[in-house]
Amino acid sequence: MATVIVVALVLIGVTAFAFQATSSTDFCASCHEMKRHRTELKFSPHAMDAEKQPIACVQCHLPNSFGPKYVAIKTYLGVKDVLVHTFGDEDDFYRAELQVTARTFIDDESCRACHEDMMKTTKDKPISIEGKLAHESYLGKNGCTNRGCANCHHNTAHLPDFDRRYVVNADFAAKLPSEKEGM
Amino acid sequence: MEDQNKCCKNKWVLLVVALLIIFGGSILFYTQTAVSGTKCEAAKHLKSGEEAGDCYTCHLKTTPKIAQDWFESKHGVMLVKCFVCHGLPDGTGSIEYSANPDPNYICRRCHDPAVTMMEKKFGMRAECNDCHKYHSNSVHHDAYSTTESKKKMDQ
Ligand code: HEC
Ligand code: HEC
Ligand code: HEC
Ligand code: HEC
Ligand code: HEC
Ligand code: HEC
Ligand code: HEC
Repeated sequence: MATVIVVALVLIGVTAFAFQATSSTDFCASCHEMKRHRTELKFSPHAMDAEKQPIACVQCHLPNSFGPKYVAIKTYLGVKDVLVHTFGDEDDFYRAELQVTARTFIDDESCRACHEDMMKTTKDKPISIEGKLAHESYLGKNGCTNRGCANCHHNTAHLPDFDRRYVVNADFAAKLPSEKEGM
Repeated sequence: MEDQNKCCKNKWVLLVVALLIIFGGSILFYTQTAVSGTKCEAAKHLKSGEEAGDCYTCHLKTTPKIAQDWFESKHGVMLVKCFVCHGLPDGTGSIEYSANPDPNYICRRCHDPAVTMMEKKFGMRAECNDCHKYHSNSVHHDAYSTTESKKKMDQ
């Protein structure tokens, strides 16, 4: 029995350490696939938070608080990343499809940690009529929507080539170096 | 004594494998069910008073990429409007409202000859969105840039 407990404790320790060590921006960007994401993030509206601190990958991509959801998402995305990195061909790194997966796994609470008041813009002005209607729908006051933040707000941190021609992304695209220089 | 050891080792391996399977399985199950964001039973469209008829203007803010794709497409240029394919969200239109209209029904109403021609060439393919990467952007979405369409066109 004692061995089982010791083994369990060691396993938990190792897992906790692994979760910690694999949650830094530098770790995410240590695979060549993620370098471009870091570059894009640097030029996005989400480069810095309100206190001018750099925003880390995990602040959006993992839930804020530790729980079953955190473990599940972290493990699923982590295992997928390692498998694709090791065995995947180029098509598996097809960003249009990755975006869809990524959006599904963004926890809305992560966004709301920084964006509390959904009736104000980031410049503290009242939000547009369309924004108000959409957010009320999100909050269940006017219709209801199946979409999370990331399913309405695309390209908040990354901008692949094929999304650069959109008018909504013009400011972001203008700041970015071309894909080749960025890599 | 040795026999017992062997059996115990096997038991350990079995236990670890079983635990791994249970752990992996539950995580897969969890990510497939709990996370895929269903907040309400059925998505209802916004109630918006006067603007209700103007799909494009509101969608330029709410789904800007889809709106721009449509605007620049042949359908946008020819004013094949949103509700021609989607119906009206309140269900009062002449066709049923659908976020994911059945191409075989909806597109055939205008493109029957082209669809029939393509059927002869490629066999029956209901998902129009899978192809058409050569005349890029004639329907919104990433209809012409999916991995699926590349596979099909290479054949
Ligand atoms: C402000 C929140 C935010 C931050 C910070 C952020 N991401 Fe993302 N990420 C997103 C969202 C939202 C998506 C979904 C796709 C989209 O809408 O752009 C995404 C998509 C992705 C994707 C898959 C789609 C693609 O564009 O290839 C990868 C990989 C990714 N992020 C990696 C990273 C890495 C690495 C970092 C840190 C350097 C990071 N992200 C930081 C919000 C964020
Ligand atoms: C660490 C804090 C932080 C997190 C997490 C965060 N944001 Fe932001 N966000 C900001 C800041 C700060 C700005 C303002 C940037 C500026 O003023 O230019 C901003 C700007 C925005 C804007 C307006 C600018 C634009 O992109 O057009 C939107 C929309 C937005 N965030 C959505 C999101 C969504 C969706 C998420 C979750 C994936 C998210 N944010 C996560 C801090 C954050
Ligand atoms: C149903 C779609 C929808 C959902 C879901 C949604 N938003 Fe929005 N959001 C909008 C629209 C539309 C606007 C207004 C955009 C405009 O005026 O151009 C907006 C505006 C914003 C802005 C202000 C951007 C600015 O210009 O400063 C922020 C910040 C924001 N949303 C954050 C969030 C966060 C965080 C969530 C999740 C909790 C979320 N949104 C969920 C549609 C949505
Ligand atoms: C006042 C703003 C507004 C108007 C007007 C509007 N929409 Fe929308 N629509 C939205 C928002 C916000 C969403 C995303 C919310 C959601 O998916 O629940 C949406 C989502 C959709 C969807 C996708 C729904 C889904 O389940 O993915 C379709 C299709 C659609 N609208 C069609 C139309 C058509 C057709 C019209 C015109 C008859 C129209 N809309 C008018 C705001 C509007
Ligand atoms: C030629 C027919 C056609 C027209 C015109 C059209 N759509 Fe669509 N739309 C579709 C089809 C087909 C789908 C489902 C495709 C899919 O699942 O990718 C769809 C899906 C959508 C979705 C859901 C996409 C998602 O990511 O969930 C939205 C939102 C939408 N359309 C909005 C609009 C708006 C707004 C307009 C007008 C500016 C419009 N559509 C015009 C055929 C059309
Ligand atoms: C109301 C009639 C109508 C409906 C419904 C309709 N279309 Fe079209 N479509 C048109 C018209 C008009 C054109 C422009 C014809 C032209 O330029 O020769 C067009 C053009 C096209 C083209 C050719 C674009 C190009 O670049 O040459 C494609 C592909 C297409 N439609 C696909 C679809 C699909 C897929 C659907 C169903 C989701 C659909 N259409 C539904 C009227 C319609
Ligand atoms: C297997 C891939 C494939 C699928 C699936 C497909 N198409 Fe096509 N489609 C093509 C190709 C290739 C052409 C060009 C044919 C040619 O010029 O000989 C074409 C041509 C067309 C045209 C004529 C465009 C023009 O320039 O005149 C229309 C309209 C069209 N498709 C609509 C549809 C509709 C509607 C569907 C779904 C029912 C569909 N397609 C499904 C590959 C496909």
